[in-house]
Amino acid sequence: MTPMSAEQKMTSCLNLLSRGGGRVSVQYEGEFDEFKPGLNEEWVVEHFEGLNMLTLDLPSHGVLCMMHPAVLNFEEERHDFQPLEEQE
Amino acid sequence: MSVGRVDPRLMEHFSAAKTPSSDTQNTHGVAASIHADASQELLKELPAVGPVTYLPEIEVLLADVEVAGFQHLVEHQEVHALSDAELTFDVPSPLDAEQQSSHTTRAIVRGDAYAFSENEGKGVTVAVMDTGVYAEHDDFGGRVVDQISCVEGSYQVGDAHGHGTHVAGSIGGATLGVAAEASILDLRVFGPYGGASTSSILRALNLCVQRNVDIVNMSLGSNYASRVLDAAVDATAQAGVLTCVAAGNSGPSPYTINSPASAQQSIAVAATKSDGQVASFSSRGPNPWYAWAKPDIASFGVNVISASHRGGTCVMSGTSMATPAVAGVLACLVERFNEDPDARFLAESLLKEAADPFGQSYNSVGRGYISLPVLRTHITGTSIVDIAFRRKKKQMPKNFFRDGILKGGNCTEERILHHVLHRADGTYKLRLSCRNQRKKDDKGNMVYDEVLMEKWQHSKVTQKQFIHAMRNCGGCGKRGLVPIEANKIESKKKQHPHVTVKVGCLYCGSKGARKVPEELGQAWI
Repeated sequence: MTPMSAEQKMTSCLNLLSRGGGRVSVQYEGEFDEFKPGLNEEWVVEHFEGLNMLTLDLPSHGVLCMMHPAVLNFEEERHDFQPLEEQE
Repeated sequence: MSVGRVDPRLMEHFSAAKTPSSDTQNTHGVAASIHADASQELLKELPAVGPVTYLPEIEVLLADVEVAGFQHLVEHQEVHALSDAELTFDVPSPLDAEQQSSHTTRAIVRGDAYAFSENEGKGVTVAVMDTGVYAEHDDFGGRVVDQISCVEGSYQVGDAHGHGTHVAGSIGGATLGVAAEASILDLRVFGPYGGASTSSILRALNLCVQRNVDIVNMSLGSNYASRVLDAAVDATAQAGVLTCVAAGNSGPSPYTINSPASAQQSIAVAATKSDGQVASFSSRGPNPWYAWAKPDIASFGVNVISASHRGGTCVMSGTSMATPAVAGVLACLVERFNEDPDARFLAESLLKEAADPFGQSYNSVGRGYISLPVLRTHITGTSIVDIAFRRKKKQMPKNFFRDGILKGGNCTEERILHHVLHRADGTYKLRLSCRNQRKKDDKGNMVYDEVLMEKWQHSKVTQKQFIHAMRNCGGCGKRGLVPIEANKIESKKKQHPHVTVKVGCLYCGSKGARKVPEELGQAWI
């Protein structure tokens, strides 16, 4: 999986900022300890260590931390995953 | 006539009719079996109520009689048998088209695969990431080992929808599923009111990695790309969990693969009918979001009978139903190779190798339709397992991945690494061949592709990648990462002994090194 480019990250950050922040899922690389100083730990909702991923509740003033080089991919929380049963 | 040839219901009726206080209606229709010659006389003398009919074709006399008439028939010498003519039969309602064409996954995907008769997935754990599982269903026989709600703020387990129970039944149901002895881990990601969230799915995938489950079944998807979820599926697969994901039900148009089936390392499953022909609804490649091809494989997913969350069975269709078929096949294969540390890797390789496309395009069914009978046919001939084991045991027993199967680069087929040449200037030359199309020169000698690795960069690789994958390069993402060198480190402190393994990507040239415990790195020394 190729990481998001800086332009993609910036666009997503600005979109998030315009909505006043929100819950995001983040994929990071490296050790979490290296990435942690770039975050307010109060924003961390859940840390999925096995996947190198986080769920964060970002306030509007915190969205630009997603520009951290350790962040590979991030997106807003979604709820649109459905069971794939074919309806007749 | 022998009384024994009188319908007991008639005897009962007319016995009751004899009693004065009986409410039973005296007149009753009877059918008497009598030869045509004797029937004429009986027609005249029978004290019947209403008309008497004789059907010469079947030699039966029909009449409505009272007790006297019945007695007359019983005592008549030419009457062979007396039956109740008012008897009604419960005619079974005709099966609708869906029921007529429905089958269990076990019947279609397991079939008569006697080569796998001892492989029912025993000791293999399959996580079902779905709407929950009705664990008390008879077909699971207590093999639902744990039930966890991954839905935020909800501890409720069980299945209120039915989808998850149906999926789990196709994987591990004793009479309905492919792997009748597999253990099921129920990871509920769907809440009671609609879709699953990214967080709940990440939580479930993280549990799969932490618990080191063998296989995870994801019969879910979205119509939109999710980079994070695709990355999470890749991370789960890199940790060694076989990740089966439904391709989606948005077919037959091209570019309709769903996320997370679009993830590079997912085993994206298309749905077919019982004859292996792709279902119209099954999503088609090419992959709309990324460069790699999808789906990967196909299996039975139309009108599937499986466990119902209310007990008994029900019928469902979809790539959701095809995915557990593949998960079940993988469970059987993992059990078969359970003594091998690379069991999961071998199972996935064999699965893809053996699949039969039945002449259909890659965009429809990937490598093709898979079932245990298809695998049985495959392993009776030359197979990847034969090749892999032969190489592993005879040629390079200490290092399977040096001889492992690689994929990527210019060759779209999987490749075998034959030789690593360490050069004086610090570069490496790798000798590869395509596994499916072996090139030979005029004299019949093998012709290899050679790859020169010059540029080396640091690349971080997790410990589990060393165990299960050693394939995916952190730099370029292609499946070209191989171990090059391993050195034992003599620690002065009383620490757990470990080794350093240098790894390199065949395609982008990036390199890395990592310390791993000695028992894991022993193979590389």
